[in-house]
Amino acid sequence: MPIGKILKIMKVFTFVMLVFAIHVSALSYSQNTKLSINLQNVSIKQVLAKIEDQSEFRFLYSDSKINVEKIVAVDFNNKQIEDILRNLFEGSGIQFKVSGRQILLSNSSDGFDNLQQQKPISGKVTDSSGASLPGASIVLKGTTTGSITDVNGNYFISNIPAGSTLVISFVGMKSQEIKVENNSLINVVMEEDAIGLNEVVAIGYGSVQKKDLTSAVISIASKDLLQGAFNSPLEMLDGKVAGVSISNPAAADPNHGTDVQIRGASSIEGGNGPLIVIDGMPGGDLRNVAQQDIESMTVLKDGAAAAIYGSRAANGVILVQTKRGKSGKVVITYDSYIDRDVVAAKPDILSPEEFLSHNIDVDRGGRTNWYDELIRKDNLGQNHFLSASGGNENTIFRISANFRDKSAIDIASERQETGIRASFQQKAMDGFLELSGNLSYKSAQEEYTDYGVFQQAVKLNPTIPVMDPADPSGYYRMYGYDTFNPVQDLKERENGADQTYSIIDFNIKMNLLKNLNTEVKLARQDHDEYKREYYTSKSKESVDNNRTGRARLQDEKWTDYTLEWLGNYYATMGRSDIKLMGGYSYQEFNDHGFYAENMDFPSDAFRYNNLDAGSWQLEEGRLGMDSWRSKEKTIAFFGRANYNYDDKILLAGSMRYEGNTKFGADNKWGMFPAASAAWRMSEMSFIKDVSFIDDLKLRASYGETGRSGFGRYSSLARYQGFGKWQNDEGQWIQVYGPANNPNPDLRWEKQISYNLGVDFSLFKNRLSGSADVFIRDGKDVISNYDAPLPPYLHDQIFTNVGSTRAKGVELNINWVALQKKNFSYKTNITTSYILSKLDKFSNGTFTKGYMDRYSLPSPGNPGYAQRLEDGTEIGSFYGYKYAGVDEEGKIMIWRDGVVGSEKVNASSEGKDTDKTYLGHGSPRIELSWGNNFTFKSFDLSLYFRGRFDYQIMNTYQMYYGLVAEPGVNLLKDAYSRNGQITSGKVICDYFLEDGDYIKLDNLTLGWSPKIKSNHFRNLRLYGTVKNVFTLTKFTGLDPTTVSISGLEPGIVDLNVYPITRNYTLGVQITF
Amino acid sequence: MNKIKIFYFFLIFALVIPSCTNLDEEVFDTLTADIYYKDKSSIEAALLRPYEHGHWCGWDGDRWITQELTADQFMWAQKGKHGWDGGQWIRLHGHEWTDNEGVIYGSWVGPYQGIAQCNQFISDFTGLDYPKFGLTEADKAEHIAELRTLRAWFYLFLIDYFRDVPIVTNVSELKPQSTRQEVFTFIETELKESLPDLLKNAHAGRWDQGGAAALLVRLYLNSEAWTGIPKYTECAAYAQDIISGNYGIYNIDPDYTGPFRSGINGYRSKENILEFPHAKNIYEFGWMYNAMMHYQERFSLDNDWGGWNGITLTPSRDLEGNINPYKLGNPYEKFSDDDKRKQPFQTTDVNGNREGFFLIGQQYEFNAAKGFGFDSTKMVLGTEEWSGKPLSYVDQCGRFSEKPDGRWNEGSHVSTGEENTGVRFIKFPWLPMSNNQFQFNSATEIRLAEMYYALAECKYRANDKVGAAALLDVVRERNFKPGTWETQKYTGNTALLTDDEFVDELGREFLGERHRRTDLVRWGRFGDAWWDKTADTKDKSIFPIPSRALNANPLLVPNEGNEQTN
Repeated sequence: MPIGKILKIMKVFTFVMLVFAIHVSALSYSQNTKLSINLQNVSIKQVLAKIEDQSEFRFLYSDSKINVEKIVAVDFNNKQIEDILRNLFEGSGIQFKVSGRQILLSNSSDGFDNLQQQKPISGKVTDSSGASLPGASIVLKGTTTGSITDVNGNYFISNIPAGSTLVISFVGMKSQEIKVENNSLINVVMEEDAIGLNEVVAIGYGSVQKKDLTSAVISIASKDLLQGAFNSPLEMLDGKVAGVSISNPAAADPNHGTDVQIRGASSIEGGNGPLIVIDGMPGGDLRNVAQQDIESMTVLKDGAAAAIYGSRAANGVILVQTKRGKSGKVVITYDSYIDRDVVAAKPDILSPEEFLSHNIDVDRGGRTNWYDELIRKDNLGQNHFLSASGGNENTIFRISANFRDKSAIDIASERQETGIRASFQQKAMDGFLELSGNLSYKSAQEEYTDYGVFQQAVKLNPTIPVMDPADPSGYYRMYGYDTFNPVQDLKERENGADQTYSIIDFNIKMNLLKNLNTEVKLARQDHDEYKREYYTSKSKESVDNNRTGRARLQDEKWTDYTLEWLGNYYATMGRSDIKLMGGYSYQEFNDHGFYAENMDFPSDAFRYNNLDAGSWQLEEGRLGMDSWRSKEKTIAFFGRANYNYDDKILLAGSMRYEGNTKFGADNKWGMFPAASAAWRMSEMSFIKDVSFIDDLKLRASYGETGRSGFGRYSSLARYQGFGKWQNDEGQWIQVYGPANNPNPDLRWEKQISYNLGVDFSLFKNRLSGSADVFIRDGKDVISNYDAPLPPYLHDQIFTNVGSTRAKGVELNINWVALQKKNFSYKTNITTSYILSKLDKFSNGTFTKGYMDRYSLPSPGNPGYAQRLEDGTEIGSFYGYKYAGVDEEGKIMIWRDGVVGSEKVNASSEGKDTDKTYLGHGSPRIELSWGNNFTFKSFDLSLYFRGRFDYQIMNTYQMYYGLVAEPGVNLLKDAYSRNGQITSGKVICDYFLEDGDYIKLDNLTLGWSPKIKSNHFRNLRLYGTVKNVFTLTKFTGLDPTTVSISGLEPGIVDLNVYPITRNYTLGVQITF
Repeated sequence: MNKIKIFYFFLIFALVIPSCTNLDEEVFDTLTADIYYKDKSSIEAALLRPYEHGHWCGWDGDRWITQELTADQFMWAQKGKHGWDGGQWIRLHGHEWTDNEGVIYGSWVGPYQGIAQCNQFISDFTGLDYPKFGLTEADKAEHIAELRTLRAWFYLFLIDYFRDVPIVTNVSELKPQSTRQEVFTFIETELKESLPDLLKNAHAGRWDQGGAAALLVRLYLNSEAWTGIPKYTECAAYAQDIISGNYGIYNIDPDYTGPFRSGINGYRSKENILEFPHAKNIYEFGWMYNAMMHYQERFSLDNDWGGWNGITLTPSRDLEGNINPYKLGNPYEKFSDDDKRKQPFQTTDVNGNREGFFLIGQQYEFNAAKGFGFDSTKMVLGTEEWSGKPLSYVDQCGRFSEKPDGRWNEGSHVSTGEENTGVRFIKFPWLPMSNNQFQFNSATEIRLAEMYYALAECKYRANDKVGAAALLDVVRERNFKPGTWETQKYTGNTALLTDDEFVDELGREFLGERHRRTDLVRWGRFGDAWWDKTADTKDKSIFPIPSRALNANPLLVPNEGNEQTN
């Protein structure tokens, strides 16, 4: 035997002994007592008598019913009573039940009832600190009989049959099963569930216990989400799930959306964001949900888990569950915070004096810090949230309302939202019918900024005054299409939108049989956007065009209808559990809208409220209006089967047959199968005895999903209106012609996913986690391909043309490092390594084989920063290799992209053949590290986050870091870091920087004092700092301001919103 | 209870089933091709679509830029921080373009899109039952003839720029390049076959017999340059037929400004064989204004447009004020002081009359009181290098605002302009908006004058200088101030009419009408030196097939232009 293995066994043995020694006192009599019996040729009756002799066990049985005369031979050495009896009664049909020191014998398991009377039971449920837990659920195992603890944590259940087992559960706590035995009072101390193996996890059209998962599904409960002020609930998930990238290059803008990408980018035009399912409704809009209303977010990462959502699931699925009421006394929660932003980093540009000393432009007399002029120093956010919930056995309800107001770090952005959400559940007809529903409504007033102002703030001559010295009531005027006064731009306009969102859903569930139910869901989701713009008579566009104001209104409405019908069947056969689910889904998505615009108003006072007061549209040939409407339908049939053999082998298979109106006439329907399996190794005898392993499960899965996130009517041959031309009579008529290169073969993109994973829970669940390896193959990837022109009508065609491949490894580890009465420390690490590649960019018809991505903007139009070619990584930078400068300071590059070959002048001698792959903008490694400390009533969490192994194209160094850029202000780097360069910008690796960073992203300190009061139960005060510090070599503002998702990651946008540090102060009170 | 359960179950079933499995698309704000043709006006709207595209293709940027900014008369100088645009204008001027230039790709894509539209509609119309739509078979023949002529016009662009190009007559047929001779023959055949079905003197903006014949003139005139085979005889024959009125009635406009104010106040110049009509707010000549006019020009021209302050004439003078020592270029100074066209532009009445083709010198505000002309008491001021100072255009290119320091010492180059650099081209007049004349003037695609010049060139090349002089003078006489004609005319003074003079005269007559590169190539002078450009070391007369087009179509092979790119 190898030494290593011996050592391992010894370690295991030592550990087992240690654990045994510590815990022996806690075990019950039946487990503690060991007996040795050696008898030949005796009756069972004699054996039982011998046991009674040797121990305190007493047998209870009826001689007339139990055959105890059978002759047996027994040889037990130091065995537990249960082992002895099992062996003894094998094949005899005799059942036994050990209750404390009493042992019941019967011919059938229900025979025990006759032996003992039904009785009542009561008790108190508390948490580990002794605080009572109201609302905990106590259910008799295998029945629906049960109760809920009252406000003091007490429960009472009458008529408990003997031999019953209580199942006690409470959200966030480990469920417990306790045998009633002879007790009439059972007090329960619940333990916090760090691992949550018994937690119920939503998996789409159903749920399973976490331990029964067969695919890569991660669920994060509300208490584990990040704390602080967020613009989107998705940001609370940032770094919590390995393989899920959450990013927002303008995180401080309250109106800016958050990007989510699961397991890398693999679509070109179909979108890389996941499907959001809110309370079971696919395609839900998270803007409808307040962050405090979220109970949990579950990420279906692999294809097998997501495949039940078919043609929209290729980017993964995020299931969002909102909070539900609980039976018992009404609980009222108040949750509120205020927050403030400060600028965390500013571009390091030349001061006015430096600007002038370098002779860049003439002195215009002013001394202006344009960036500071755009910052709102007294920005403030506030968020108030109030909820009430409660109910009884048959009815539960919850209602919540929130108000949020945020004036952002820039002088224009504002957001104010008000929302209300209600949910109810009603049982009727003796539990045959369950009716439930949700109703939510939210309105938001958004005022937008213009990110372009922050580029102006960098490049504008800093000696230009904000206001015109000749007329201080007017702004200093600037000319040229790419130059404007940024303060004037933001101040002399109103650009915003009023949004309203609502979801109404209604569910009817019928429990047809104990193990058969059916459910219909009807839902309607609405979003109305009322955009309003007014540019005053003092705005640049008005002054430049000699107009007095421009107003524009646009109203657009999206209405989605959902009808879903599900059936569920459960069966248990011996050690096998079977669950079957089948369903039908119909969804309809409607969009319609219109706009109207006018100019030249008699007064700025009207703004956009009096469009017909403007005179602009009166002129012949002007119109200033438009309207549009479109519709899309998805129809699907689906089913799933789950099989569980004795918790050891778990199998699942699903199928979705789905169609979408958008697909080409020849490809309307598709099939999306999935299969997965898990093997609970910890139930195997060879591991079962390794007691530091609590749970160990291997998973493997395969799934096919689709992606259909492209524009409606893309496959149809359409004729649309273009400009106007004179007809035979000399009248101007609108001309009509082909709108697109039609593609009747257009079909969904297919994603084929393989996943291999392991879930583990070790050392009394102190260390747990999961690891996954996956491959995702994208087929028939849709792109706007350069079509051969001639002969086509347009130079692009929307077609299935590529394939992609993403491979990765993910790891989630949670460790309860210290768990003392007054102090605890928990830590978790989430990390992933993902490599996404364009496998092939061609098909039988289109064979270009590569695409150039991200055309860098004017001035300069230096070309495309990235190229995707067969086999290259998503986000591959393509350009020249920098070879220093010549004696005049002109950028030199290496011939053919080979370092060490000939150096040539980039601008005059650089050829296409000198370009090569320079790096990649998609971070391969993501890491987050959470740390939670509690000390008495204080809690502290430190959350670090980082991304590694990627580069960023720093366009700021390229556009404003070179002295060749004429007439504009520059970064100080132009004269220091890049001082050797005198020529203009070229795309080369000189401007490529390592993007690697690690930052303390979230620091939260909370205080939850124990308060003895009848008025409220819990109080928590907390403070959060977001974006505390960042360690990086990147010379731009902050690596997180650079988009890393999608197909063009790692390029600095010149129009970059300020990066801030956010301070939040909050209070949470439960009454 | 069970019966009730079953009842509920079927209730749900009844609810779900009607939503069924229908996935037909419902369209609301767009038309699908199969239901598009409903009546006469839908045919008309389709017929006119490639014309509308043709205007964009011919007069909205890429085509004009590649034809004029690569030649000697126009430039888009960098003006401080404006107008560098990645150096593309500098590359075009210096003949250093690559096969990646956006404007060259646009010059490939634009005509081929027009060709595909013509192909689509020719195929559509061929299959339509015209009488059912209240039209005749003759209408059908005429519509198809128009589309074929329009398609030939697009192919002329392609042979001019790229020579060997694919000939496609079908929307979905991928084809390799044909030889230049095949392309030539295709255009020739198409035009000759279409001609009889076309109208004579059709409505403005539509191809007719005169237009088709004029395209044959263009084709034959350039045949030697494009295919190596001279066709001057055929050219002369068609030009003479047009002049003789065999394809419709056309006359040289007695007013030199006439052809360019066609469309103003209902005026139609008889000289224009094909013009693209405009109307404010409906179809504007927008690119031309924006690309050429200064931000502040609206105060002198009376409108509310912005302008990009981009394209101007190349300078005739160096930084010291001496005329540049090149045969080519110097466009402003190529005009005699006796030439009415050389006068500074101004409107002379409220009816849209004006004089002069250029904006030069100090700019003054529009005389709003009179409704025309300028108010010489109100100077227009600069906003950039000359911010707050009088805005005065100069026929020079240099950093005068920095003199004697800064970038002044870099000299006179496309890269050293400033906001007042260059004489502004206003042959297409931007008339006062307050008189409702702004943006109504047509773009003149083909004028009868071109037929006179083509015929004259054929005669000149055939050594008939007298005949050539007479033809040129028919057009030229209107340009000169009273009493000066005798010294300017070629007739009786044929010694004046040399090769150089002929090239200069083509430059004067068709300045800014998108002729120059083609004319220089035909006269073998496109590779010569002019201001801020040395003589080409490689033949640049063919543009490279854009790399994007090569990549999209594996059947395409690079041409000489690709091999000559930098």
